[in-house]
Amino acid sequence: VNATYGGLLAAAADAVADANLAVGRRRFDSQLDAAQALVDYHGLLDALAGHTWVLLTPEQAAGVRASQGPHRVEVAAIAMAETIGKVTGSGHPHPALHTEPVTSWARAARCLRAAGDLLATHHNPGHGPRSPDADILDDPDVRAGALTRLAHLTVTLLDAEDTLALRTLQTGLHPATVRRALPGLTHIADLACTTTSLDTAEPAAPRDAAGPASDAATGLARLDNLGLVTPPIRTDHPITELTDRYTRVRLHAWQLLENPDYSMTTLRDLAVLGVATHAHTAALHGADLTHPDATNRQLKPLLDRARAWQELHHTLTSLITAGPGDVVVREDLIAITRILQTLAPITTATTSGRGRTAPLDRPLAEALNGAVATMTDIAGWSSLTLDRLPPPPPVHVPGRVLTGEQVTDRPDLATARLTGHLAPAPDENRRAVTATYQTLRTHPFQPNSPAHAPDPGIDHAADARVITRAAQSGAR
Amino acid sequence: MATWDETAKVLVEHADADWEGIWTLTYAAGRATDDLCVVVPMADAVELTYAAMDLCQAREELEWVRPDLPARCPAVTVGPPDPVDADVARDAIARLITAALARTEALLSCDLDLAELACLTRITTQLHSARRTVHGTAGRATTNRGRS
Repeated sequence: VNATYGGLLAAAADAVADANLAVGRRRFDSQLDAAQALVDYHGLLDALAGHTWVLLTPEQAAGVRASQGPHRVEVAAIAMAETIGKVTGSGHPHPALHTEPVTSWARAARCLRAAGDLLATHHNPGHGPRSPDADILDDPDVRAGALTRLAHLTVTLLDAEDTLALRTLQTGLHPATVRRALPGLTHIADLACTTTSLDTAEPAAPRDAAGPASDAATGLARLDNLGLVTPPIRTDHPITELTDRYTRVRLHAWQLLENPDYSMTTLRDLAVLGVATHAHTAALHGADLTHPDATNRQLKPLLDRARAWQELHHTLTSLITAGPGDVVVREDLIAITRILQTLAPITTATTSGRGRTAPLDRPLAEALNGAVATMTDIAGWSSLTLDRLPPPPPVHVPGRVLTGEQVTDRPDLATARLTGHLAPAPDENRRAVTATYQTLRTHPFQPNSPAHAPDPGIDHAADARVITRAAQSGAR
Repeated sequence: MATWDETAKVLVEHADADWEGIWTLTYAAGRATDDLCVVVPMADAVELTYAAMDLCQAREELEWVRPDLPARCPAVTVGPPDPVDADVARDAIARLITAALARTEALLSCDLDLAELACLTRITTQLHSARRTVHGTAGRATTNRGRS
């Protein structure tokens, strides 16, 4: 199973609940068990404080401290983490890390530290991005949501303080030892309660970038679904394999932004994947693909999108660059199309005009809906990749395919057409590709699709941000 | 205007049994497949896109061994797509691929270095895969996928 951030946090919460329950229900068998529990309890506190510094980088924390109108959740979370640090000490690694986890508190701490490590894989040592999801914690509302969840976990843990003190004293541990370990942590609990009581969706001061609560929830869901940057491809089940391969293709398409392979082959392979993804998704939902005009109106956006990817592939085929394609993308493309042909065949058991007769495979539908969103991301990045191919123009076409209209007033192109040599791709060819990408970079079922808008969804500011982040990735 | 079938016949007849001939036939087949994708129903188009991908890759394999091919060879297409009879169009494409395969086979008996030999084996696989896909039944074709 590939771990996700949300999965690890849920496992940590379950382990804390288990440990609290166990310590409340029965005594420790020995002083050794009691001592181990105390160490693990502190270890978890240390992990909670450490995870706060994962969610809030030192630079961000410094910014919060210096800010005139900081996010209140972040202020409270910083205070909580600093107070925990005073209790657990500054020695690292924490003594609890020297032993194998025995209690559920230790298991919770391990999950929490693993969650922090998982997030860290999305950044390089200079905190530059290593994946398209590295910016998830840049959203203050998402960060506040994650910090609030951490505070809830802290409150739950501190609920067991008194019970743990009682149980350890019952074993005969020296009261001074117990008092030193559990001096009364209610002040931390108060800080944690303060963190949880604040509305994460509401900023302390008016900000232009403040989004609605639903955006924060969407961001948190994205954070929870975050896995390792380069997880292994699971081949034990076709749907999980499908998901893993789409994730890897997405990462490689994003990496092309900074490390372009100067190849049309990769862009073309991605276009083939776009055709397959949308066509098979439509087929899964019961679209009749055997007749051009027999399309279900609700599924039409998917088929239009498949056609758009196909036209893109058609245009890209005529362009020539010097670089070889990305072999990983090609491998994933072949594997994905094989799986799709098996799980979501183009010709399904449909009844004419009434869609599919077999029940919908919901996990597969979920995976393919995610794939459609992935292809939308990829379209945006591929467009930028094409735009960023550096001068001199590395994109060529065979001279003989140039039309008479294209070579008019262009002696170089006219010569290429006559001699059959390669010629720089005319601007209109590149513009056609870019225009198609602009259509594809919005989700097919997004309300107010900009397909008919005057400016087809070109967000130059967003493009600049994406390029800047990818450039940071490459520079480090 | 000549039909795809007629153009394909002329191409097959005139293409030489050398690297240039294979490139021209593969290029024409790839463009034709790509053109056909746009006019046939989506069920066929998806499969044909896979075939176009294979043909494209076969052409690129040739260009890695002989980088001058795109500049020297006639980049001929079979004309605008005709949606009236997709089966005839498929036959024309298959004819082009078969001709390319025949020339590849002929070339294999020539004096070749290792890189050229490897290239020819790869493109043979891709051409076979593409031809199988082009001949596949609409929507149920087993594509590619001779490269397992």
